[in-house]
Amino acid sequence: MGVDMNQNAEKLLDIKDLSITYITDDATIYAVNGLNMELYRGETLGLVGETGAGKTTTALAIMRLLPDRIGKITSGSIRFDDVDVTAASEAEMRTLRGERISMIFQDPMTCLNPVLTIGDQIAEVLESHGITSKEELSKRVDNILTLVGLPPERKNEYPHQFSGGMKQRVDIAIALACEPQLLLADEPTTALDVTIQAQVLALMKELRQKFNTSMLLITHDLGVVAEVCDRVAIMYAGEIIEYGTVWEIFSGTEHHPYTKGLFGSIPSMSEGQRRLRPIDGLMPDPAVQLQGCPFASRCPQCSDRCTAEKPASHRAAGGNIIKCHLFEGEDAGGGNDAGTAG
Amino acid sequence: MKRSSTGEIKRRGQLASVVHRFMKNRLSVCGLVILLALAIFSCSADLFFDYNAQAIAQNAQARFIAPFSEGHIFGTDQYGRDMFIRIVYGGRISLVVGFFTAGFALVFGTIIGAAAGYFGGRVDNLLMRFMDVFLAIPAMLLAICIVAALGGGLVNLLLANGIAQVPRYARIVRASVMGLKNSEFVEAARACGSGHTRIIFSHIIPNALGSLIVQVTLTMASAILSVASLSFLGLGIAPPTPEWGSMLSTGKEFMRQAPHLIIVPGLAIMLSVLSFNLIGDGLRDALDPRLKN
Amino acid sequence: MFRYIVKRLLMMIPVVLGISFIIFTIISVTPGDPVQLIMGADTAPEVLEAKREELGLNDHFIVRYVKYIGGVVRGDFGKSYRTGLKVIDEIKARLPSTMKIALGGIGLSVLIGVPLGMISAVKQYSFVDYFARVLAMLLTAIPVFWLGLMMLLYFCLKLRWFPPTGGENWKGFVLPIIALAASATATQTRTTRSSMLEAIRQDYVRTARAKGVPEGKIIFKHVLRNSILPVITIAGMNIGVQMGGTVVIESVFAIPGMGSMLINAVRVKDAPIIVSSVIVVAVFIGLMNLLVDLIYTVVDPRLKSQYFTVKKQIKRHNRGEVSAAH
Repeated sequence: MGVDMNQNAEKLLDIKDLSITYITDDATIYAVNGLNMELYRGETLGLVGETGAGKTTTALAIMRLLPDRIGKITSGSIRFDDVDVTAASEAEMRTLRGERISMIFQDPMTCLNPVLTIGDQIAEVLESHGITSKEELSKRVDNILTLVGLPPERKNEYPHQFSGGMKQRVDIAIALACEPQLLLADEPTTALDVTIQAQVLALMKELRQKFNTSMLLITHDLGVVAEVCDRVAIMYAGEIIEYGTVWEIFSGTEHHPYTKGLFGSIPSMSEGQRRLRPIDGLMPDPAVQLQGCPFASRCPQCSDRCTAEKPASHRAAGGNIIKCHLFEGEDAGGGNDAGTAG
Repeated sequence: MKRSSTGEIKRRGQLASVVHRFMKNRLSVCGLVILLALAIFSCSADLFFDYNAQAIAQNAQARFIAPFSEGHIFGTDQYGRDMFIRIVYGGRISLVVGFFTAGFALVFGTIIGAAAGYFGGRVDNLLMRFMDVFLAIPAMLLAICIVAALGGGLVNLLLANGIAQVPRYARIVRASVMGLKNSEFVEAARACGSGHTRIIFSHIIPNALGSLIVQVTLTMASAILSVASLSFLGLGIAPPTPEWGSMLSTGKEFMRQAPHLIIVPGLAIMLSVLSFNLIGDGLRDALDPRLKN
Repeated sequence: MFRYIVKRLLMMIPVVLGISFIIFTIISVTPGDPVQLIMGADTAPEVLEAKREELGLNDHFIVRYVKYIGGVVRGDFGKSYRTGLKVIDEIKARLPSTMKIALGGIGLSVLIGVPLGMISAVKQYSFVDYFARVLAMLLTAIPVFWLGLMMLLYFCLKLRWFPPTGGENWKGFVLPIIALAASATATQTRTTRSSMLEAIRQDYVRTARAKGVPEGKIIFKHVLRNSILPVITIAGMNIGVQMGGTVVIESVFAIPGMGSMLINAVRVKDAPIIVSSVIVVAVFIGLMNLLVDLIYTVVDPRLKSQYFTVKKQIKRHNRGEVSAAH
């Protein structure tokens, strides 16, 4: 990856050419198609895209929690630190989950078990990773609850006795209890009120810095990305179509047509713009394997080549990497594929 | 849209896709085949057999013939009557019982449940408490009591089983009416000036149809079982009418020397109940694929 | 909690009154005279009339019902028209056998159905799953009396492992309980399987997996506890079905229980016996439903707050405010 600030940093997560399909009775869904992604220690990567772009699928694949029998990794590799996630045994994965990689899920309402106290559910993650003494567990649970801003005396209460924002704090407590190296946050604030969103984001940022945890933040909210992330990957139809630092993505002039569309559909206060410019059309049917660029059917600058041939990744003038035929001639820095450069 | 035509997903109508999903379920198709075979055999029985001469009249020379011998594939009973013919005629009774019990329960249960759910408040309270009274004892016991009052015979059995099943339908319909009566499309119909009856029957009930159809197949199965049980106890259809339960009841005295007297009618009951259950399961999955496990 | 139980018990009273009134009425107003059925059609009219007068059958049925239910309140269930014996004594003599079969059937169905359903769900699409589904399918379709007869034929008459008539010692209860448990086992297996599968798909199970909790612990601690409600519900509903099934199974194995008493009574429209049996069964089922609801509240903390005193809720509410300010 050509982003200078990371040149010397250590790679924590390295995903190469990842493809994932869901096979159901009715159809085969191509959820992720040849995805390349890297994450360095201590950094936050924002994964942005519409619903159905394959963001959650990617995160689940990193945890190897794709739905049994239905979700399959058809090609590519996922390396986490020294572990090959695609090849590891189930027992190895179990020791990884919760301790070194953990995940915060989208909907705090359904993520907690309704019949167990929240204290039990936090203790469980510690217990599963070797802490067995009752006093130690209790102490750790109290500590982490305090850290996420919940009174420890409430640990004997059940999830239905908490509000949505508080439940999300419990989720964060569970995810960070073992001080993981990597946190996968799947739209952690989408289900929350705006004011609560800000609190939760601030909390995550603070704790992440405290534990030096890397984070993959999945969201469709560009405001959140600007606030929290170091780098951004824009995902569309199972592929990363643009990749760069927050600065490059938010202020550069050259972008993938989809990214432009994405920014065009956000209301702007500064410009005297009266109407939003939504992207026409829908994401392509994920049950179909496309020949060309997945965005071709909605792209205002689409050419015949776009429908016939998959574009390669090209480096734009601003430093960001774009997967689009339009930028073919420009390759500012080597012109390697986004994933293989690095 | 520029896309290769090979990838077009087939779009079907709702009914067609239900049928398609049902037909993909092999077990359910099996059930349907069994049921159709049973229905065709029993409906066309009179074309091949003479009811009085072959299913009722006794023949002392041909008693207790074992199955698959002397031209009787299911053998003969204690009075020398061909078991196969009696089973076929018995199927007629079982099917009639199944259809009419379910029909009775469906009609009255729907009316009661719809009224309770739609009008709510006092009407609901009164009707549903009344239904709860019927649910206080098992359906089998209720049917026995009703038969005790009315006496045996086909029509009374239909009534007894039908009444015993009404509360279940009332509950299903009430639940879906309550869930839908405040939905936008009902509001819209009301705003257009539709009357209560019209709203209930053309807007709400069709939405509950799926679960009702499934319940109907299950009721048919349980009605067949129930009538066979009552006849077995001597409270239902009396011999010599060839009803499967009463065949079992009279056959059990001879079961040591001629076990086929109880094996054959039992298998007939089991297969017909099984076919309804298989169809019900298949329909449930086909109507609501989300429920499929 | 105590108040809730009392309230539920009080709510049973109108239901029991209702069902007893309905059954009493339909038996009384329909054609068919119990005295004639008991003494035979060719008995002299004077004798029949005297018997009718003796049994009080010449009163209006409402009067008879009020008299009867008045007795029931005082623990007197009347006398059988046919035998003249006190109904309460008959029930006392016969209820234990019926209870043994019904509760034994429930117990067995839970013992087999729940584990089988669990394995079937956890190992979905495996051989065990396939086997359990086919077995459940067959068991629901088998008529209980036929299964009883077949077992009687094979185990009693052929192998002579069990006595052909039950009710005397424990051996006589084995086959009736198995026969009765068959269909309940099927529904128990199916319900357990589907509610486990439902729970396995929930987000909190994914959360538990993401925490690195071992799979066995996930199944027992997270999945089972959440899928247990429908399992208990079905067990409770099966009790009712079992009470119906015992009538038939007692007839197959010639067990002198409530069922055989009821069948004899039904033939002669012996109202005190029929209505009293109905009351006993209705009360028993009502109590079982209450028990099931109480178990719910133990299993699911969300229900506890709905059912029981508001005191706790207020306490929690106050605490909630404190922590929100925190």
